[in-house]
Amino acid sequence: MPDPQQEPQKIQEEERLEESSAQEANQAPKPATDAPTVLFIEDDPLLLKMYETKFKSEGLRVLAAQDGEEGLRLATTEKVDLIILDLMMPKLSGLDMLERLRQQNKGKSHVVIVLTNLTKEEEIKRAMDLGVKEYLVKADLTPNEVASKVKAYLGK
Amino acid sequence: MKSIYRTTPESKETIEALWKLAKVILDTLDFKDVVTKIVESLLSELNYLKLGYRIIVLVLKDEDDNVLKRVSLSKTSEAEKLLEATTIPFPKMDVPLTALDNLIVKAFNDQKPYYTNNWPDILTPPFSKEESFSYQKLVEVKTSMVYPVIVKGRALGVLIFSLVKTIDDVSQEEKDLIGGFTDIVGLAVQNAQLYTALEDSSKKLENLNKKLRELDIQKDEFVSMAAHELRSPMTAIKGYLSMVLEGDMGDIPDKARGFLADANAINERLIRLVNNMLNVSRIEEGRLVYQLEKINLTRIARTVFDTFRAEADRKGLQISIEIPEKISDEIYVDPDKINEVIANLVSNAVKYTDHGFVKIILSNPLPDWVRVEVADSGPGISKEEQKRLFRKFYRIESTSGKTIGTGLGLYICKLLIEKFNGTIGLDSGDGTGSTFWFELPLARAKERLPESS
Repeated sequence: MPDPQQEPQKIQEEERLEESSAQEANQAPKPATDAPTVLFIEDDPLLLKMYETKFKSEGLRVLAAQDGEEGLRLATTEKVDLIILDLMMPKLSGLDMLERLRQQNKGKSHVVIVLTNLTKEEEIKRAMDLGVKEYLVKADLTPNEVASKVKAYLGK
Repeated sequence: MKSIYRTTPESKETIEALWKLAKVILDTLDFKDVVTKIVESLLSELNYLKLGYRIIVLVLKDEDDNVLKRVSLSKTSEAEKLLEATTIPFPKMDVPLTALDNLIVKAFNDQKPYYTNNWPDILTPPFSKEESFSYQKLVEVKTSMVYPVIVKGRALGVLIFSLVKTIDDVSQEEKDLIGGFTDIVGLAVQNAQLYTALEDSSKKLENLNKKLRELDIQKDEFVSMAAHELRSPMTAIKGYLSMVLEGDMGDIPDKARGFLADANAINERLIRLVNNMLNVSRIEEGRLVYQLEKINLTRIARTVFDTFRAEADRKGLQISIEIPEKISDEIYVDPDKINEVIANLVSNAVKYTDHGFVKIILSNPLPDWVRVEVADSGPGISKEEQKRLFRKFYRIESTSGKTIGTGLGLYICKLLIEKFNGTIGLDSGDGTGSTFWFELPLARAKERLPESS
């Protein structure tokens, strides 16, 4: 069980992370304050770091969650333009999280792209039934290709 | 102890009575029912109680223990009295086959009926002579007849009939009937034993099947998990390599770029291998979902041709596509899957050909069929290897050093083409190039036939 008292600290850490990467990202275009926000829900820290780096260099704001519960919390409390969702995650799986999100009024219209390495027919079908825009297989795409698809949905 | 003369039943009444018994006994196959009916039917159906028959016992050979086992006993008051008195419970009154003086063993071995006026002849062992005599006195039995139960010359056990009359009072008709009765018993016991054995093995098979199904589910889970776990690190490698190669980190020296491109190619191969393994297991298990639609094969072939043009040009190969003007090419397939097949064949042709050409040729070999050939001027494939080429994990040895495939490509092609009711094959001889081909039925061929699968 997550200690509720730890929650604020976690957010602070994330903010610090964003700050520091923004500071060092002098060579990359700085995401504007009104830049579209992508919520990345991904439990593998290595992959998260990789996509985050790429997305920020493409001028996007990135919010990150490393499990389904955290993802659901951020999706409902923060201003989010697009959600990138991994499926196999601790605490709350990607699709269970999405199902809960869709049950909330606010969560019905979120643009969601599944980005996973899980390719089971049932999962794909369930994702599509939950109104996912695309089901992307991580290993088949470069971060650049993922970013292009995301930007297309954001109208950029 | 004397032998009882045995004849085939003659009187009409005896034959009718036997028919009745046979119906009752052979009606069931369950072993417990059968052995109960055997010891009851003579008393209940033919009322032999009136004729002085008191206790009927069925004894069968136990295959494992080399003993004759008492398996069932008629439910008469005498039998109940006996069960109360005996010191050994009925199911444990075994007679070892080594007790050669026991009349049960004797009748079994000699395959001849016997009778006795002295119960130690049939109860010792397991009981002492004194005990045996006292039990006989208790139930007032005068005679016991022991008949072997024989099927196809093999003794299965014996039937013991205990009577409150002497052997002289047993009529010829009774003897006939009992002789015929033991034959029916033989058949019934054999049937029941076979049935029980069959039931046992089908139960075992059912259990095995269940286990296999569980294992199959576990295997699916495993493949899917393993693929997921393998894909994550490969994704990270692919991602970072692509970012460096795409210049995200600025310019890099050409030599480093070359190394990274090689690393990337090897990683792509791993990704393909995992993808192919997942594909194979999905196709084999029938879990792959096909998006069937009517489509022109020419269109798919052209798309593939365009995809590989640049690569062939880079290798200095002449790549061409030949489509007759009046081709019939409308097929009912999953276009992506057929694209995958043609791409696989063209990719192989480009990969293994160093000089010359790669041709994609479409034709109608028969009015209702369309054929795609991918011909190249490569080294060719020996007859020996052709046979094994479409098998799982097979890779051509004669071109080793170049083989960076997964060994699954052609196998998947075969599975897919066969899924769409087509055939796939290859014509080649050493040093003369190879022509891989497949043929698919046209959509109109299917429409003309009544819906089958």
